[in-house]
Amino acid sequence: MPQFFANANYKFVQHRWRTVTISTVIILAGLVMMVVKGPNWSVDFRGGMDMTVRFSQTVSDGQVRAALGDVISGGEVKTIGGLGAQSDILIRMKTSDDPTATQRMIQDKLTAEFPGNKVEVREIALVGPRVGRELRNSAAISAVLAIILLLIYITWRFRFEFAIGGIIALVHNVFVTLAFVVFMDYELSLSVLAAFLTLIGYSINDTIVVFDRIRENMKKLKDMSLADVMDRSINETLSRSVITSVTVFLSTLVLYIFGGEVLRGFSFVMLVGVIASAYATVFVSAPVVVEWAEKAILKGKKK
Amino acid sequence: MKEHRVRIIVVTALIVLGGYLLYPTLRYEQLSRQETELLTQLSNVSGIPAQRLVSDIYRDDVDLVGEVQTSSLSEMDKLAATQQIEYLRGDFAKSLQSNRSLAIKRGLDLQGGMYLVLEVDLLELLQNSAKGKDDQYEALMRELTPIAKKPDADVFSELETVAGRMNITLNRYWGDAGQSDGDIVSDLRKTADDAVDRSLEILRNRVDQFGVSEPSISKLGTRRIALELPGVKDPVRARELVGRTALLEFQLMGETDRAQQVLLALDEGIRKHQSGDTSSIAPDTLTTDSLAADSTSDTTNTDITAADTTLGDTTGAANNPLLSLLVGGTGDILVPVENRGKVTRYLTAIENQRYIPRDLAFKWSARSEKIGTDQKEYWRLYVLKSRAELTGEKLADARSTMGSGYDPAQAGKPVVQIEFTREGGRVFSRVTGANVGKRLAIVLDDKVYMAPNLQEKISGGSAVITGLDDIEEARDIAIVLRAGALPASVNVAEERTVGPSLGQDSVDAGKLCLIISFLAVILFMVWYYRASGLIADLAMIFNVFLLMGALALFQFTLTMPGIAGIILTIGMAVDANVLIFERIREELRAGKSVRAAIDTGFDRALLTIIDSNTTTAIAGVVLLIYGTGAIKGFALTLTVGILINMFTSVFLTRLVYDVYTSGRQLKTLSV
Repeated sequence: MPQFFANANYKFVQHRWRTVTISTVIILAGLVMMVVKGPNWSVDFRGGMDMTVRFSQTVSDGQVRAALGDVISGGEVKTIGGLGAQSDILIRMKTSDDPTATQRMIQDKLTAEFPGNKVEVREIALVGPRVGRELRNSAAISAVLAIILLLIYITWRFRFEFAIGGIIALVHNVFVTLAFVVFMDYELSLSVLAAFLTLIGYSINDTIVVFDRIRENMKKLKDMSLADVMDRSINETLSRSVITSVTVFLSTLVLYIFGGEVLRGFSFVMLVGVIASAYATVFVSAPVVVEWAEKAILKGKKK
Repeated sequence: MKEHRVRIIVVTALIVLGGYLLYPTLRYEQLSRQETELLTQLSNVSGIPAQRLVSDIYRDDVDLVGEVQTSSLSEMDKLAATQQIEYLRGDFAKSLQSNRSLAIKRGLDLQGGMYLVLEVDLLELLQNSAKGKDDQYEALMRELTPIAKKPDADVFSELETVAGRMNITLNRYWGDAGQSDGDIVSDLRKTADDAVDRSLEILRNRVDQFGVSEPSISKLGTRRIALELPGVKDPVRARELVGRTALLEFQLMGETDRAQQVLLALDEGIRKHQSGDTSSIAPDTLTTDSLAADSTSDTTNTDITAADTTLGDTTGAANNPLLSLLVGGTGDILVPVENRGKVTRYLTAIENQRYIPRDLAFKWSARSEKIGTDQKEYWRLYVLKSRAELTGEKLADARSTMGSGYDPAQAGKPVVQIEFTREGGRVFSRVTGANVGKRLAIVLDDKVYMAPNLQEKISGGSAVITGLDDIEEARDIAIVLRAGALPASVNVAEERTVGPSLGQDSVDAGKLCLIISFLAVILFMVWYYRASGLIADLAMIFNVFLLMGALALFQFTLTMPGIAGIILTIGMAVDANVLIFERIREELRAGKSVRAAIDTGFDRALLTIIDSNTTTAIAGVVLLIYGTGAIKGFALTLTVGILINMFTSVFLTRLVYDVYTSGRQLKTLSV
C-alpha cells in the first residue's frame, strides 16, 4: 500500500525565509509585468464586443482582417482555439456605438467576401461600459466580502493570528496565480474571476486542515515550542495535503485539456492555484503565523 | 445489521429519490433524440424541409396538415404524413413537454441562444416628453447629455442639478408633470418606470411572435430588461427585431428651395467655422443665387441615369465643405457611401445646429443603392418636415406579403401591408388629400424606406411599405409594427450569444471531462487507499448523483461553468475521506485496533471537515450572491456540492465501514 511521507519530519519553519523569498520574487515579477503591460481585461470588464465566427473552410485571421477593412476600425482580429478542435476567428471591437448595425455589417461583409464559405456566429459577448463597470465593482465587493467573512470565521474557530496567517496564505495564492496568468497573457474575464474566488475558498480549506492539527497539538503538547508544534503538525498532515492536491489537480487538468476554449482561462487559474495553494499550506501559512503570533500566543499561555 | 437499519433506509431513500428526480432528465434526452428521428422521417415522407419542420411543427398558427393535404403527394403518403404530424403534435408533444418541465434546465451557453440586457434610453424619454423646446432647452441638453451618459449616472437627479446650475426651471418644458422641480423630477421618474414596464410588454409581444421555444423576459432592477431567447439561429436578425424602436412616422418632404437654402447656409457656416471666422450668418440672409446644383425635381420614380454632378462648386472641399460631399441627380440628394460618415458628422455637430431650422430634419434612406451607369453606391439624404403627420400608433395591423400589381417597386418584391385604425385612416386620407403633388416619406426608426409622390387622396385606410431587402425583413417589420413602438429606444447593455454548435461542443466537452475526471480520481484513490479508496469513490459518485438530483429538484439551470463546478466537486469531494483515512492510518500506526481506529479517525476528522468545508462554502455563497449569470451557475453547483459532500463523505462512508466491521473481529483494514 503506497504511503507518502510516512514519517515526515521536515523543518519547515526554520527555512521559512527561503520559501517566502521565492514567493515574493514571483509575486513581484507578476506585479511589475502587470503594471508595465497593463491588466488584460476581457470584454466583461472592459466593455466592447467580442464576436467569434467559424468558417466551414478555414480562413486566416489576416484574410478576415483584410476583408473587414474599416468596418472594424480600431478593432482586432485573431485566430483562437485549434487545440485539437477547429479554429475560430475572434473579432474584437473596443467600443461600438451601434452594435446591431456593426454585427450586421460584419456578417454581411464576411458572407460577401468569402462566397461559398459558410460563416457561422459561434459566440457574441457584448458588454456596455456601464455594465462592465458594475461587473468590476461586484467582483471587487465579492472578493473583499469573502475575505472578511473568512477572517471572522477563522478568528471565531481558531485565533486572530491564525486568521491573519490564513489570509496571507490566501492572498499569496491569489497573487502567485495572478503572476502566472499575467506571464501566460490570459484574459481577466468573469470566469477567471470566478476561478480566483473558488481558489480563495479552496486555499483556505487547505490551510485550515493544518491549523486544525496545530490547534489539536497545541493542547496535547503544551511544552513544545510553537515552531516545533507547527513543524510537527505540517508533517503529520503532509500526506493528506498532497493527496487532496493531487485529486483536485487531476480534475482541473482534465478541465484544462478537454474543457474547451470556454473554460481554458478558468481551469488555468485553478491549475496554478492548486499548486500554489499546496505550496502555501506547507511553506507559507503556518510559518507566517509563527512570525506574527509567537509572542501573542506565549503571552496568552502565561495568563 | 439491526443497529444500522435507520441509516440504510435513509441512504436507500435518497437513492430512490435521486433516481426519481433524474428520470425526467434522462427521458427528455431520449425523447429529444427521438424527435430528431421522427422529424427526419416526416420530412422524407412529406417533402417539407426538416429545417422548417423544426421551427414550425408545434406552432398553432401554421397548418402543416393542410399543407400536406393540398400538396402533390400520393394519398398514401398524405395519410402517413398527417398521422405523423398528429402524433408529434399530440401525445409526443405532451410527454416531451412534461418531461422537459421536470428535467435539469440547460443554460443558454449549452443549448445555444441569446441573452440580452436592454436599457431604456431615459435621456430620449426625457426629450420626447419635453414641450416648447427652444435654444435654452438645447443648451440644457448639451450640458446634460455627456453627464447622463456616464456610468452610474442618474439622469433625473442630474437633470435637476444641471437645470439648477443653469437657472432653468423645469416647468418651462415639463409643465405637465408638475410645478416645482422636485414634483417634476418625481413625475418623470414615474413616467420612466411606466416606460420600462410598457417596453417589457411590447418586447414580450415581439418575442412571442418570433418563434423561439420558451423565451423568457423579465425586469432586471428597475430600468433594465433581460431577455433569454433559447435556440436563436440568426442572432443578428434577432437582435434587430428586439432592439429596434419601431417608431413608424409619415413625414412630408421639406420644400426643395428651403432645403437648398438650409444646405447652403450649413455649407457656408461650416466653411466659416473651418477658416476660423466666428461671425455667424443667419440662414435667411442667404440667397439662392450661389446654388450650383442641377435643377432638382420632385420625383424619384424617374430613373437616374447620370449622378455625377457635384452640388458644390467644382473648386472643391475648401470652398464647399458640405456641398462637395453631395451629388445632385435628377431627384434626391445623393451621398456616395464613402462620404456618409463625414456628412453625418457635419449634420450632427453642435455648432451647426443653428443653421438647421427646428421644423426641418435630415434623414437617411434605409439602405444604399447602386445608381447610374457606373453603378456607384449612394445613400439618399432627405430633408423632411420634423412634425410627423401620422405615426404607427394609429396602426391596426401589419402583414408581410409579396407585392403584386404593375408598380415595379412592389411587384414580386417583399412588402409590408399596413392597415390604419378608423381614426388613422381618416388622418391619412386628409393628409394625402391636402398634399397632392408633394412627397410623403415613410420613416421607420429614423430611416426613410420610401418617399413617394402623392398623386391622389388615399382613402382606403391602408398603405404599403416597399424598399425591403427580403421576405424575412418584411416579416420582422410586420412583427414590430404589430407589437407597437417602444416609448423610447433601447440600448443593449449586455449581450451573450452562443451559437448552437458551440453549445453542443460545450456539452460534449463537459461530458468528456466528467468521465475522464471520474476515472482519474477513482483510479488514484483505489491505488492509494485500496478498498477504502473504493468506498470514497462510492461516496463521491453518490455525491455527484445527489447534486444532479438537487439541480433537477430546485429547477436550477446547468451552465458550462456549472459543469466545471461539478468536475471540481469530483476532485474536492474525496478530500473529506482523505482526511478520515489519513487519521485512521495514523491511529492504526499508533497501535489501535481496527474498530477503535475507525471510530477515532471519524471523530477526529469530523471537526476538520466541518471547518475546512465551511470556509469553501463561505466563498461559494459570496459568489452566489454577487455573481452574475454563468458565475452563479458555477457557485451554485460548487456550494450545493460541498454541502452534499459533507453528508456523503461522513455519513455514507461511515455506514459502509460500520456494516463491514460489525460482527467481525478485523485484524487489518484496507486503508
